[in-house]
Amino acid sequence: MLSAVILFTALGCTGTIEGGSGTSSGGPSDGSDGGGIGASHGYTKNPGLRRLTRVEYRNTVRDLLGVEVDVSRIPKELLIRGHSVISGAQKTGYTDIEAYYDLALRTAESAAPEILDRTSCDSSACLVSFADDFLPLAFRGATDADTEQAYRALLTDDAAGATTRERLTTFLSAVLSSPHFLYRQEIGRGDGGESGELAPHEIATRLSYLVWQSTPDAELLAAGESLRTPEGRTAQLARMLRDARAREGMRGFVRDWMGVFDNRIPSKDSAVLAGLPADAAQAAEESFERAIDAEASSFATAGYLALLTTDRVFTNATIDAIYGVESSDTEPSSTAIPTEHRIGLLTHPMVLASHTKESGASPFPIGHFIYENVLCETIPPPPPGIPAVPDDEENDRTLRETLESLTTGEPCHSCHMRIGPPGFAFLPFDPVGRFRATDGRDRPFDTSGELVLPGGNVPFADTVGMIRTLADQEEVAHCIAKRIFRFAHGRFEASFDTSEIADLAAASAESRAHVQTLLERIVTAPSFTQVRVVR
Amino acid sequence: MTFSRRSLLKQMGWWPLLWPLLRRDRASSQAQIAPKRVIVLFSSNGPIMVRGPASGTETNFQLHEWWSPLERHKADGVFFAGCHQAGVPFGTHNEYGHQSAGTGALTARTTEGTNNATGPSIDQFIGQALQANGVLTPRRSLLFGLHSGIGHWGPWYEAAGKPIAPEANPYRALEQLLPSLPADAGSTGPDPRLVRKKLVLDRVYGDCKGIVPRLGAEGRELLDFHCTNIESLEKSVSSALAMPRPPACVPLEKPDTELGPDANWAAAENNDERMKAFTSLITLALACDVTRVVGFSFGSTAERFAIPSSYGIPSSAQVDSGDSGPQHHAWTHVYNEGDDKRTALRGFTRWYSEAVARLIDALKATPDANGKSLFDSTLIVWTSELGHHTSNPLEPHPNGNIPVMLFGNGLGTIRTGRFFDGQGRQESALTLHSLFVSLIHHVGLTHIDEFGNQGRGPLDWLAG
Repeated sequence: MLSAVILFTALGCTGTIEGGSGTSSGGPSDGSDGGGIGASHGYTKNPGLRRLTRVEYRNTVRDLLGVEVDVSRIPKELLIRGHSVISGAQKTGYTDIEAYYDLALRTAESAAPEILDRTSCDSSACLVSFADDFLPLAFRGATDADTEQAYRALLTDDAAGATTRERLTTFLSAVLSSPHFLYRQEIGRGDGGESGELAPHEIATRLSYLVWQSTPDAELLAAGESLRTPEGRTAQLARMLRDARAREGMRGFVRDWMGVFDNRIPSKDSAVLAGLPADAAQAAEESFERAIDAEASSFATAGYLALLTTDRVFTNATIDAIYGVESSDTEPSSTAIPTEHRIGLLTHPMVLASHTKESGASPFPIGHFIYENVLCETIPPPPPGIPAVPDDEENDRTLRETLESLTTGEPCHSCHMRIGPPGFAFLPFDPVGRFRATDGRDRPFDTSGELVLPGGNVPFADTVGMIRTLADQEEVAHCIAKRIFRFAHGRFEASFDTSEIADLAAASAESRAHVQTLLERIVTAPSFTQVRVVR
Repeated sequence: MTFSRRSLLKQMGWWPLLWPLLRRDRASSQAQIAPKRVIVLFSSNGPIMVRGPASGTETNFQLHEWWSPLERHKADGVFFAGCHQAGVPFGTHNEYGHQSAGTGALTARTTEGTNNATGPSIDQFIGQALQANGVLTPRRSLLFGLHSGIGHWGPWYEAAGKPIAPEANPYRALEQLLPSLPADAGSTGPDPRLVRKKLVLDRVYGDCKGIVPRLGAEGRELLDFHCTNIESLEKSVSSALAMPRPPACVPLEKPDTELGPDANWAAAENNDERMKAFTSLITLALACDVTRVVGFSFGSTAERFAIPSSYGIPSSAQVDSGDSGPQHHAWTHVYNEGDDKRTALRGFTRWYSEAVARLIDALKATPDANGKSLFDSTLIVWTSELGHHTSNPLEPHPNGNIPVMLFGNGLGTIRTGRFFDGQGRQESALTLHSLFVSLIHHVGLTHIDEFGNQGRGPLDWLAG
């Protein structure tokens, strides 16, 4: 029962930028004043180095060495306006390097026995041929012969260990700790200037992490100069989309889009988690990923907007408990759900948990997320000095009525007239997505409203209506286009990206954010083979 | 940044010959001089309802009951009341109290409109400065806590805009510590784990030389930061290789806890055990001279910190910030002065106080290289995210009346058993800045007279 009035700054006292939209902690995490075309802050520039995200690190190690690693031990990405991929913001400090080394060592210790077994090597000299194949892949073609020789030397150096296994462990630890491994290089051929061309291996790397969220395979690296042509890149893209790893690419983008960077279910109040299975967090995450995978099962038809309006969810005991359904299978399976009250990823526990507080209602954080992540509109943080509002148990108003009365005047109204309505549409849902038809005083929720958009206000009748209406808006397709550009390039768009963004946005709207269409447009654009480094 | 390095192979080839000599030199110096250490403790939220930690006159004062677990260390402490938060514009009391306290409490720097910390926290500053001035230890600093994750609002920052998270799992913390422990006296050679680590760091540092010249300004800045830290870590490892194990250094097989590595270390019910475990690790780290600087936080800013249910903290109903339960932050947002709120906030403050007291107990009970105790050469500062608003005790984000305590006499340079009352004056905002400089001077960096962007020299008053 909600007896307390929610602070109408809505963003209060979370103290962390993790999860959710970039300003869910009460302030933009980078101090920037906005983005989009023409943004003047540094994150529109490519620093030439893009540190692997934790997902990329995990996938890369899996593909290179066949080892699954616990990436919770290495640094999290600093979110910039809700994006995890802004490369210029990712500083690597002393404790980070310790963490990278520790994980590299653990990984090396796990991988070494299998490598020795597979290569049948019992001497360091034997392992040198392993290194000949491994190093170009691990460093993604970014190193020269001298550098590779320096790493190879670790395999024959007594100081690296007394046994072959120890030397291999040292070698692998060094490779995985190297800046050549930890950073994707987008430096170009030499002096670059404002519009230098990337080297073929850098194009291959950019393509690989966009589509697979992992390292380029040998075939992609061998594609060489053909990657300079749109046809060459399109051909590789088609091959890559047929590979199972393409699901990871789609998962990575959707997580970034939906602001699902961590599993926030365990952070909810015990009262919220009561009645859920012990493995609820993991089960919800699995359901979320399978929903994305299902859409990615055929890139001929896969579309991002479809994820907003799908009536299917992968059920398990946790989803059953949250969605109020009873799935018949013991194994997770795709089940059609009634769409009277919920639809698509926006009502999925993983997404809601990422944008709600520990308990109670969170209309403004959710509304903020809708506007920033789904509509690409910048909502500034609340001004300082807004006082907290004491309990008002005497008042018989609903929560919505109270919050609306508090946000009708400036400086609140200009933002809250936007974030309020879509946020109120989620009032029936608790922080992990359970639906309730009435509030604590048996009053039905008013989930109607209007989306305030540049082209005019668009009304909706309820939660599902809001989501369907949202998915139909051109602005959402345009926003997906911008976000996938940022995802591909690791920066916000600058003034020289105007025409490409416009083309991408139009294609997104026309195709309803068809994944393959968007990827093809991105990879065939001239900017895909360029770096714009300011020297 | 220079890249001229000795050949790796040549360097490593000298180790078997040099190692005994380096250890002998280090051992002889260790026997006579105790390293000077600093521990920085941070608790989130604040007492809110009361002005602590003490009242009275400079030498005739009483600890507030909420801080009474520290009574047994009163004679060894200096207690500060009425001080304004470091790095926070005077008079700020609103939601941004969390943000400004988080970015300023330990950095002593205002955000300058960036919504971010504009410098390192005091623990990181001291660790970096010690290394830059040739005082090398196996770890530049250590950071532990009862919470995890990077809080953008702090309180720990490695550099401007670079928040760092403490290690919140004691077993993982020990995994990190053990490889840094000096080899024991019976060792016939350097620890092969450290030898490997140095080899790897030297190799990867060599990569920087090839990449940096090809980058533009922003890329250079990123990679310079990375590579400078590789170099710093390499120095730490070299130090670990060179130093002998101090007599007081007794490695632990496990942290001091009844719980195993797979326990739910994030659970409030385990916070007593977690605190006990970390107390043993902090003591180990200092006894083994793994570092001279330890940071420890009970929570990040606005932490929903909870303690075992046996302490009887009542559960708050949902507050205007959306949270509820028997946790510290929720109770700071209850807008009344009822008994339950008082019980809760008193409970948290006493829990923190007891934890600090037990840490001091452990340091006093552990011998140092010079035959005295670890505590004798250590300064411990405990500060809080928020304090108390004198005229509006319901204010949940007060940046004034921050309760601060300093324990240790700085090897005779500090007159303890005293009380300082800043009385809420604006100039008290600089008291904590000066206190931080005193910490810097304690570790031997007396040429550094500024910390933060409103820095002053040391707090001369401490000398009495």
